[in-house]
Amino acid sequence: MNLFSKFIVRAVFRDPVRSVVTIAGLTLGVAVVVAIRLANVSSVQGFETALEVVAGKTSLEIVGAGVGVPETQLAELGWLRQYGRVSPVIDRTAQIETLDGSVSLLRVLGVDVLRDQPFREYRLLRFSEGDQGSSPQELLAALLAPTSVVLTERFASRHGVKLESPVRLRIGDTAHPMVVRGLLLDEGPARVIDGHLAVLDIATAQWLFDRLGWLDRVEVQLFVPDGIDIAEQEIAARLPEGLRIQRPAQRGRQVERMLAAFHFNLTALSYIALVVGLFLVYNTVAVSVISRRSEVGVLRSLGARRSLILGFFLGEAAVMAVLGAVLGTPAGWLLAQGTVRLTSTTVNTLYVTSSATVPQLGFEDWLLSGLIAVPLSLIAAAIPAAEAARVTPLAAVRDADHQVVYRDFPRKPAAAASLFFGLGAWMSTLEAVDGLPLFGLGAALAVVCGAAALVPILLEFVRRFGRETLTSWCGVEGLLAHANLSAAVARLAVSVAALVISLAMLAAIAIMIGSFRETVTYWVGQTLQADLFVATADRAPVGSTATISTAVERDIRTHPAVVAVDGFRGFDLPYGPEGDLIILGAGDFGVLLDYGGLAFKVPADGAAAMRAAVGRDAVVVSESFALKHEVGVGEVVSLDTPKGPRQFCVVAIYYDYSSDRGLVVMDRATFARHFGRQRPTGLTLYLDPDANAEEVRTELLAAIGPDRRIFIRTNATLRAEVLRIFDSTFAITYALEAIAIIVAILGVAATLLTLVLERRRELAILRLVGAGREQIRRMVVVEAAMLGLLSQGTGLVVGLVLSLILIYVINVQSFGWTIQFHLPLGFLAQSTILITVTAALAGLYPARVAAQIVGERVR
Amino acid sequence: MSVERKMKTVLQTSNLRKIYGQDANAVAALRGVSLTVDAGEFVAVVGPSGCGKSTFLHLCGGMDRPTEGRVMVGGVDLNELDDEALTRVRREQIGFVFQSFNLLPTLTLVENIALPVMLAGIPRAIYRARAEEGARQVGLSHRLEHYPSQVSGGELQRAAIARALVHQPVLLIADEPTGNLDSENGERVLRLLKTLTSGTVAILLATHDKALASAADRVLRMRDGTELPSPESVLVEPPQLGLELRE
Repeated sequence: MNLFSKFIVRAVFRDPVRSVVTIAGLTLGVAVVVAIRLANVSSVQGFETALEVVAGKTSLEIVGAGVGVPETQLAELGWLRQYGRVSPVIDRTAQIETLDGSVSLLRVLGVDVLRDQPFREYRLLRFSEGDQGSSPQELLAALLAPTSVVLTERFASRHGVKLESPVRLRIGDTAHPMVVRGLLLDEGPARVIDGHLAVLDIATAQWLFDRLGWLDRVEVQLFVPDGIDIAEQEIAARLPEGLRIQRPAQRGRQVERMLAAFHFNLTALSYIALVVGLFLVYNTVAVSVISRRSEVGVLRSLGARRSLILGFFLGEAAVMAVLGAVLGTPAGWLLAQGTVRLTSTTVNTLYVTSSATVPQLGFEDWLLSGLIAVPLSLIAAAIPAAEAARVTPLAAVRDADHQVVYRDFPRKPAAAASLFFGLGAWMSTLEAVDGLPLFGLGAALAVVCGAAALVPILLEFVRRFGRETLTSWCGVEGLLAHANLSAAVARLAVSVAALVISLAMLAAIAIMIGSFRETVTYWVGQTLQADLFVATADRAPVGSTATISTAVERDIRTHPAVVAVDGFRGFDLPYGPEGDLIILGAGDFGVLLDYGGLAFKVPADGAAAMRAAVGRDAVVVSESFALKHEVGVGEVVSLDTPKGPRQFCVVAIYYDYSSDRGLVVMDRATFARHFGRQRPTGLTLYLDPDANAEEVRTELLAAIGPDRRIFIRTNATLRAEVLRIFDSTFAITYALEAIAIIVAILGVAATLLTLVLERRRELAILRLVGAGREQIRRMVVVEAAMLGLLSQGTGLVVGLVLSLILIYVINVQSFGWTIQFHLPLGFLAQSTILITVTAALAGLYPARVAAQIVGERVR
Repeated sequence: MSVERKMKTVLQTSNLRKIYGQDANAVAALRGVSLTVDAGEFVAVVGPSGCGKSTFLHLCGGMDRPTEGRVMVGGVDLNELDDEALTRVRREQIGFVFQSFNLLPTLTLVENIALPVMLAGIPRAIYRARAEEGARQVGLSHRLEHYPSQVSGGELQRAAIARALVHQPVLLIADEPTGNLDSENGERVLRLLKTLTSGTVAILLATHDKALASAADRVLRMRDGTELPSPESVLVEPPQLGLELRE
């Protein structure tokens, strides 16, 4: 240990810049992994915590097929009381306007207070001293009037709400005046989602949410909780058709499964920065070995065993890894604050409304960081450390040329590159594993490894053939830069490989996102044919069940410029053996076919097939549904309806990029036959060709009146909104990539600095024979720019290959979308210039150091 | 000093002092050395290790700045020059030869020889021709595209001499130029230095080698950073040297 501290730790301090850069690289790598993990955990945890606390002591729940449990069936479920207490529930979201003018999203529970009290622990806040709770009767009294609402103490204090304060609940297109009749103590469910909870009487909730005759679920609290397995089986066997029994946690599992692909891809992306950081570890240990080769020789000649030398250099990597983990974990937590903001937009827009907050760091987070950073760093350091262990005692006296300079064609890297590219090609042909693109990512990793192996070959190519070009472009500085590069091919290969990988990923992601954006833009252009789109002001964008009221629909339909209206109703429906949440939608096929423009994948004449589906038990499905559930045209899907499972024939598959969960759409008449008449959640309006959409919008809003909470978007604004959401979804991707590139450029700068310091003597000679400081600076900057350009060029080619894997393998396996390939040439050209300039700038500090070196060191 | 003498003077140092470190750690490497070297003159600097020879050469070559005193090269006071101007003086007026050759391992011999003129921004065709001519003069025409690691020590030093003279300097500074060579190669290097510089280039050469010192026009003997009294700094007759250069 004493020898380790003298031999390794002192050396680390002797070269602080390289050590700091490596530790910073590792720290950033670990931080990104931790941040994404915390963001992923928080999005699911936010939902699950709310689920658990709101579920309270509920053992089991009875749910209906999509639209809920018909209230009439409640009487038939009287036998449930043999198993335990029973409580019907309405569970929705709404917006609340308070006196301070703010509008907030609330979770609204509609309950039968007397039945519900044993399920959930909520107590009214008392204002007289000594009172600590309330009886169910008091809560019932508080909720008795149809305008009564009970809020939480936490929410009330934040918004200045008091007992008897008037508030307005925005549900669908209507704002309902209510009065606060009670405040829940800050405990139990009242603390969930930061106090954003309201309790209504169940009848009031049914009325407000347009759910007369329906319940969202019936909860059961078993008398014998341990007998839950038997009870679940028995109840399932006795339930009438159209109803299912499940445990509350299943909703959490459904959300987890729904988010799995999104989280998986984010996690994979987060490891890029770590991989780049590991290249820095390899580089640092390799440089450490090279620069101390003669010292190792001395130790070996004095009797040090090979294992001791190996241990020294592995120890150096381990020390840096531990520091990286220790610093990276809290840095990751800080980074997660921003990451959660970026990812929660996507999660809330596309998947599930969840109140995500970053959890506090726990022991397992520290442990995980260590378990990721240390073993991977040891693997990264293994090759140079083993090389050090092979040093002979003669190295001390010979001080032989220790740099590996490829004089022949680098056969080993070439063989490795071929092997990895072959492996990547093979893996890209394999299927997804449980819906996750494991082999697709394996293929991408193989290509990345192949690219890393390719770098020494490219550097050798530049060494052999680049001298004339560089000299003619950059004069003597170009010649010298080339000479420096030629002498350090092996050393530079690792740093350049790290930069190549980062840039390849950036190019791949840019191509993928560019292609996706072009595809979505084309799809939006083709499918969004309507002139106006009407939705409620409900801000919960996913699974929104807020409906358009009859009055609003009437106002819209009677406007003279409106020639056709398509009402759309959609809701989540569990599908398949795993209960994956899909979206079941209903629309007016006739209107859609006459005025709209669905883009069909199969059959070629999808419109005819769709027209034939009207009046039949037939559906059209989205591409992602078809791919995920392996359903083709002509096959049958089984959907849960209030009357039990029913078979529907798939007549067409259409392109859809609004959700990766999969959509099944049926004609409104078919829907009504199976699910009952339901108010639409959105309307698409087709106007007279001579009408001005903006004017009609203004007239409709005036006719509907300011009290109705309605959004009417024109075609242009909706398209812009779609692309805005698209761009915000991918903001995190670019942010993660930027971090990886920063780490990689740090690596190049550190390597250049190391090379400069090692070449002090040569630089001094140059100064002696007349090189000015400016010429030395230019030489190092040319070298850096050359490496940047080479890395970017290689990165673009490798990125192109990676983008094909992303678009045609990983994306299809994760999300089930067809993306048309498109090269964002402008972006790629800009990034090439930017990266070359940035790399050159990264060379400024090493250049400055080089220019300071003077001739006095030469003997 | 006469006007005529001033015109011929290439190097003049006056009371040159160099102190490294400060206060208690201060070490005086030079304690006041004055020397004048005329064009075409060959002056050897001799003395034991640590006497300040190399420091003196570094100051004369503009590689370092004195603590006190002046260095004039070609009539220009080096103390008054900024870094850029000093670099220009080194590039245009001074050539250097060192004990350990100091060629850049990543450049070929012809590129190493051409380096000073390349750095001066001379067009490629011209610098290439001048470097090839320099290589021919030192007998390395057959080694132009070889790298330093591929040639012998004697050839390395001849390449270093060619590099030191390719830009036609007025002053050649050589620090133990034969220190790493066997006697035969050492003699050959000496002959080259004398032949290639005769009458035009002043040589200031530090050495431990008595034979080499005896070839000089004048010897500056040093000890503990000072020059020894004038009787010991003597002018000697140059030896008769023959040239047997290989193409």
